[in-house]
Amino acid sequence: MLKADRISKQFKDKKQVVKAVDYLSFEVTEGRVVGLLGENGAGKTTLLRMLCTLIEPDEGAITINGTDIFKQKEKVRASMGVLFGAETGLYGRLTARENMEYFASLYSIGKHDAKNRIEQLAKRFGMRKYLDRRVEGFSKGMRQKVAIARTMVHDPAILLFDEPTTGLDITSSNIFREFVYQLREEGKTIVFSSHMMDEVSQLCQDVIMMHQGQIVYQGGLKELYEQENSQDLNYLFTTKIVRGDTYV
Amino acid sequence: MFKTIFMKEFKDTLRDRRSLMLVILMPIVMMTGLTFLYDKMLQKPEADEFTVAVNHHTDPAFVQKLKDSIPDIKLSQVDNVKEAIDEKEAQAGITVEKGWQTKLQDHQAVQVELHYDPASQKSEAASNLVTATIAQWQTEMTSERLKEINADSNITTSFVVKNMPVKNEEDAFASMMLGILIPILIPIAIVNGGLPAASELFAGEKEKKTMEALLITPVKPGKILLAKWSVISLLGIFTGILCITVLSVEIQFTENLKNGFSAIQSPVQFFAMSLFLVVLFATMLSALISIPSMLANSIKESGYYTMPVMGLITVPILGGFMLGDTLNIWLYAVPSLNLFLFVRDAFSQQLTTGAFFIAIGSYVALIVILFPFISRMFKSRKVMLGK
Repeated sequence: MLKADRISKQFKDKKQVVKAVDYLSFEVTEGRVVGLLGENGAGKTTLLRMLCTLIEPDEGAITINGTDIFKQKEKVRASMGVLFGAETGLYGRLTARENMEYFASLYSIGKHDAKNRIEQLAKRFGMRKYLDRRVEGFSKGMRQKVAIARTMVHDPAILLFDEPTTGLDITSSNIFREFVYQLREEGKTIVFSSHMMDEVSQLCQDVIMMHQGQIVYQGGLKELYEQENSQDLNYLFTTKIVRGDTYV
Repeated sequence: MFKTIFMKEFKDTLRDRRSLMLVILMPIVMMTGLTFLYDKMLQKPEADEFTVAVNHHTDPAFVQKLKDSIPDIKLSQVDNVKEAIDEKEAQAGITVEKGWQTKLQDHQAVQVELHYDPASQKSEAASNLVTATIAQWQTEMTSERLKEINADSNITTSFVVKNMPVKNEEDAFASMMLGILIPILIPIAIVNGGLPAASELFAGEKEKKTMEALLITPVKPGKILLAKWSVISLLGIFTGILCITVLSVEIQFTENLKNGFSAIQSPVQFFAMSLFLVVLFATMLSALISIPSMLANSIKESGYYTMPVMGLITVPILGGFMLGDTLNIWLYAVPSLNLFLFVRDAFSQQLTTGAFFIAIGSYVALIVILFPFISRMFKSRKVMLGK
């Protein structure tokens, strides 16, 4: 179980202190898909960056099965696959295979295992035709597939995605949705931030709604629908922000 | 893990055409062009390359006297001597007053005007040639006049100066030119070799968000930084060595510049020391140029910092030109300036082992200071994650 306990993070911006994350507490149960909803500047990226040990919270603790993630960063990182954006984190002058091989070796995957894993992922994402072509010539959709495959190359148990479909066309967004759906079936733990309400309602079992660094709702999607007597997530999200609810 | 990151960064950089151009093509073109340009600058123009203008109405006897004295020179008769020089039709121009022969016979001074362009080396050389010729006429005429009054021609000679240069004048000038060429061009080439990689490996990765992906892997940041630093250093070292090699080969095909090397007492030792300095300079420099790249959020932004970095390297070298010729081994503690001093002192045969080791020490000290600094910067998420 991934657990955040009263974590906060603030940044100084031109002599002004901005509270990006303000005493958040939540839990992500193993094998669940959690949607992170919030406007721009709500603190979603900061939260994801803390969850993947990229930045440390000023206060509070994040644990996985009771162990502080910052006390065993390497082990935690090895168990996570993280993708910030839709098709980022790729080296344009390397081929799709070279990109994946590189990250596989950074995650200490042996050559033989990496080769098999890359073949599996290439088959899964239909990338075999362009596996040995340089990424710089790829379309957004092709890049997105390679970026996701690169994130998955070490077969992580936890996956974190930050706005993975922003800027993508419908076909590419659907590829991602289908992929998350498959991972959900495989029992992976996934946390992803999104602006797309339909995407979240389709894929997620749980949802965390953020506003100005605070959580305005955390819980199951079904429960939310029942509680608010509506299945319009867009409406519910706006209502929660307008009402100024704060999840404690 | 170091090898994995190093090999990937190296492969990625070498696949970039811009980096390849700056690492290989530019040093070759730059060194070739400047070697032959400097060689050309060392060539002394011959008399047959000069054209001296005289007015149309100049006494033919004077023109003939000039022709007889400097047979190789081309004499051109023009309407206006000054205009002929301005329009580059002649390198020098001469006018003589009317009745010059009568004045000479009457033991009077003849007014001669010599026109030349002080901004042109060739024009100045032509004017020197004409001045020397007229000075010779003056000596002959004075001697004749003294003879006429039965005076000893030696009466006008009080001192006789004999110039005794301790070195071959032309070789010394060629050495001086090499002393200017080498310490400026090689550091610039090293900066050019390492800068694209430095921009790409920090600012470029931040821009493409690959840095974030890299920093969330289980690899320790120190290892990532060391691999990147090694690639930037290696490219700088390669460019520096390429420059020295190109210069050493091409200089053999020059007419004058190659003579400058005769001043080096032990060429093998000089090249070995140069290689050592190039390696340490490039290693120090790669740490220095990594700083602006880490601070920048894009390759474009990183490019804005190129000029200040170039300034940091070239200002101490240019400062070296203001120093005297005497060996001051403590000045070897100033990085970059010591490259200038090393070459200058090697060509003036006053380089000492102590001075060389002070230069080495200065780079080692700077690397020891800079590496922990860039390491701290690389570990700072505020710096490396950017905006």
